[in-house]
Amino acid sequence: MSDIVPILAIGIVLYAMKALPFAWHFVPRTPLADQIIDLLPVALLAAVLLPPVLAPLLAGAPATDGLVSLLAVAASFVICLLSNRTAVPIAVGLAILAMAEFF
Amino acid sequence: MVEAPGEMDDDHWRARTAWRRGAHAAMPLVPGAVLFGLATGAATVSAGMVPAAAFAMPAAFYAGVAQLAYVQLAVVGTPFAPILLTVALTHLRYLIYATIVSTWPRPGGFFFRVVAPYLISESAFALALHEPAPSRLRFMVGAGLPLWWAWIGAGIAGTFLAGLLPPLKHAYAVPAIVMAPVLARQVSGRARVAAALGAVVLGLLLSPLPLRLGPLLAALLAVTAVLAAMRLSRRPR
Repeated sequence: MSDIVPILAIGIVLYAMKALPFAWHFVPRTPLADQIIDLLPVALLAAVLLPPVLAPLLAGAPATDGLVSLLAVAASFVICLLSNRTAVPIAVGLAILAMAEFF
Repeated sequence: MVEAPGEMDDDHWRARTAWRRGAHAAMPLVPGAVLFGLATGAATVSAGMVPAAAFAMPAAFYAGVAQLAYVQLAVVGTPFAPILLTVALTHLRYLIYATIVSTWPRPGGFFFRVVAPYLISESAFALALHEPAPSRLRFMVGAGLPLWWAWIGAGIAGTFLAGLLPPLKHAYAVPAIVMAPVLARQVSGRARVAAALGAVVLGLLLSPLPLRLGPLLAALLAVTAVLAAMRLSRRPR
């Protein structure tokens, strides 16, 4: 039981971090705020997702490992741009990774 | 029962069916949630957490990075306050996602007020960005539900499979592969392309920062730089 209590307490804090802005509505609807809201999601997603894939290449990790990951992500990205689909690019990207992992 | 199109206007029909389209759109992302959930569940038990705690965490936190941060600190006996601070800081970007979601039109009712924020995840949030604003929140909730089930199921399965799952050399690339198509559809227009490129470069430079603050600062700085450049380019000479 003592292991669960801190987990639930932190869970409540994490939920509050999502629920309070949601309930509060404190973002003013100004042109500047609208521009920030337009640009921030794409910037945040790019900053969260892509540096972990690029960092091993720049850090001098074994070149093939870093290149395979980059190739898989690039394939997923480019195939989506060309096909406007989601499932196929992900399947191709994961297949490239699986081949590198198991063969 | 949902009325057929033609019996109501298009916007109303779109809003009513948005959750279903969201669930459908999330299906290709489910394998990513399963892989990450399995790895996180296995890592939680392997690190020495008791099974009851490992079962509770996927639902209580609903955030893999926060779960891993908690586990790393809890198993070495770190006091509660530093753990709470660390986990909250690693979770900061969800504060931004929720702030952005708060600007979307919201249907009334308890479910959308109380449950919808819990279902905010990177994947569901990003998928919903393609949806027109009036039905965007319903779409995000629809996308969030299958991803939540996949995460919980995989997290619990991972606790049983700890020690049996092979270590993956390229696991760090899975989130980027799964989210790349979602990001590809978002990167349109010069300002967004510049913000994304700036965020990647700054993200690499700031990646040594602790508590996963690097991506957050990188995104904020990139957006600030793009907005400043837009202002300067519009200024009369």
